[in-house]
Amino acid sequence: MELLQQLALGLSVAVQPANLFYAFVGAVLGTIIGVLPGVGPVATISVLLPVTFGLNSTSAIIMLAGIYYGAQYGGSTTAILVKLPGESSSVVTTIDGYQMARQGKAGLALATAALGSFLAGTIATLVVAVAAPPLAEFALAFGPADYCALMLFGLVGAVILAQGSIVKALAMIVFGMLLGTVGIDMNNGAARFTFNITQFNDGLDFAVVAMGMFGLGETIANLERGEATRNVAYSIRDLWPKLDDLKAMLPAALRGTALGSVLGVLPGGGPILASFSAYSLEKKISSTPERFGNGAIEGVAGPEAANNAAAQTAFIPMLTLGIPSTGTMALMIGALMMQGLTPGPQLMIQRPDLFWGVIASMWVGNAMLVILNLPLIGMWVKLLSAPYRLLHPAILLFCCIGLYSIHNDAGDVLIGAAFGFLGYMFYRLNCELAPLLLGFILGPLIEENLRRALLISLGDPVVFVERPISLTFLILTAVLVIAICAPGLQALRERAFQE
Amino acid sequence: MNIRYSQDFLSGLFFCGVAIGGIALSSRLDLGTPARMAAGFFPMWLSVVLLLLGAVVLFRSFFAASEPVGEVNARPLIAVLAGVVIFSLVVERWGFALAGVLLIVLARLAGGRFRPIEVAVLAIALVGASAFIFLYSLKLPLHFLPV
Repeated sequence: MELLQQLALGLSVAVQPANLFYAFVGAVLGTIIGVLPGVGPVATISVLLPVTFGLNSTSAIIMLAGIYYGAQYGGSTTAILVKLPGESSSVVTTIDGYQMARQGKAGLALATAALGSFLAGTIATLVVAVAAPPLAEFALAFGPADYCALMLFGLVGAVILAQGSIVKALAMIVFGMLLGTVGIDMNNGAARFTFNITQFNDGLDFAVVAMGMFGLGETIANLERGEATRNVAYSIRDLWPKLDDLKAMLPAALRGTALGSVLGVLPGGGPILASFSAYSLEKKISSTPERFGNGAIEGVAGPEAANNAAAQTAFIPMLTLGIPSTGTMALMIGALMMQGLTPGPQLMIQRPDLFWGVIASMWVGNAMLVILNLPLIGMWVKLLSAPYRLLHPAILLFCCIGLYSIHNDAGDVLIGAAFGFLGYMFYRLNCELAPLLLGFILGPLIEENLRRALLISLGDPVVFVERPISLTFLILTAVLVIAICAPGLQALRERAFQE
Repeated sequence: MNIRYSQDFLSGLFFCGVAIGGIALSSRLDLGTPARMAAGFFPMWLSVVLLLLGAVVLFRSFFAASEPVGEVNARPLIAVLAGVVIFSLVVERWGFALAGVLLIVLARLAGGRFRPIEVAVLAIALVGASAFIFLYSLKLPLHFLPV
């Protein structure tokens, strides 16, 4: 019953007019971003971070969350209609979704994606509500050593998520952590890597790094690559699924939800892994696997439900442990920190309104998406073919204004430009940016907890294996490292990313 | 500009370079002891780990074939970065209007066809709209015109 009370508290926060408004703005913005060419959700959230500074912390996170799942949703629209995944988690949707569109069932495919996502969102919200509090309570017992081990586990886990070389992803994490040490050390006043630049004294600003790398860097890379043509040749009729279609998609969506909910919690799991796994599961258990790739409705319902469920449950480690499992979650943690909040087990106790408000607003936001988006699909289709040459100047202008507005300092814009160059360089060197962001966020926390753990143990590293929680995480990390190095998993990863 | 070095070779080189710089700079800081970590302790260890990882990436690039970086189109890179840098230098002294217009013109020079009328309309619309949103409504302390 406590759960119901807490959900009621959350709902009362979520339906406050201001929060409803921000959830709405977030969901719409996210969908627009998702369908617009060349703008990913991570870039969007980076660019819009400064806008949230003026809001209270609950509204800020509600809006960012809205952008996040809105973009998830918009991404599947482009995947179905033009075979261009708006983001990596909807790659699988292009397989059968686009085939359905070619067969004149674009409306049905879109509705399947929307309803599957809504179903998944509803169930996953409940999963978050049930699973988060016990986890947070458990995490209250964590000491500094346990936190260190947990964060190490989180970082190593995140590497699985990286496409391409694992060593490079690890190097990106460490480089991110190194960037996180820039600034005056709060414990002894020593200046680290500040190069006499005043802006560096307080440390590199998270928003500057994110906006520079994702906002500016991604724009440069997009411009260089040139525009892909996006023609929607398929008319959208018959939006609502018939009974037979419902029968085919419901079980698939439920299986996808279950799979996605579990995978979303794991470090390095998240929506991408969830959607790929759901697709192979559907194909495996189907009695007619040959339909897959030729417009099977289950091939849309399963993965779409899975990636939405995973997107939702990824909030569990973020809200309860303060550990981001994806780049987007790292941005959310950065946003919370800028609001002066520390994500972690204390959050639920200190700010139950925020904690439950965010959870309830996920469901509200998902409902909004279905209500809004199915009727508005015509508008999204128009946006979908918006030329990039009208968009990128706007993105750059917003980036510059955003960079300036963080501290009302033109120097931040310059630093942002430097990170824009780095972001582009990493793109061309095929180095993933998400691990860097995780390292940047977690680096200072790891240092602080390491310092405390070693201070208590008088410098004896045995403290990390003495404590059962810490030992468990270290063993799990070791298992992950071995698994990553094992050739079997390597091959599996390669296959998953190739498909 | 066509870069024929492989992606992994250059990544490895970059990581090693950053790591060596990190080691050099951290060694000037107080390292302290594990029980009393001083400012240099953590960055020093991070740099050492980064050096190892960078060395592995570099070493592997000699044996496993990895893709060359390929053609680098300098135009979007230079135009976008120049636009942002000019914005930051101009915006406080010469006002938001000029900084914004210059940024948009440079952004359009970065790629695609440059249609003067379209660019002019786009610049006026974007600068006008964002001045209304950020300067007027959100009270961002910037001047619209030169002071």
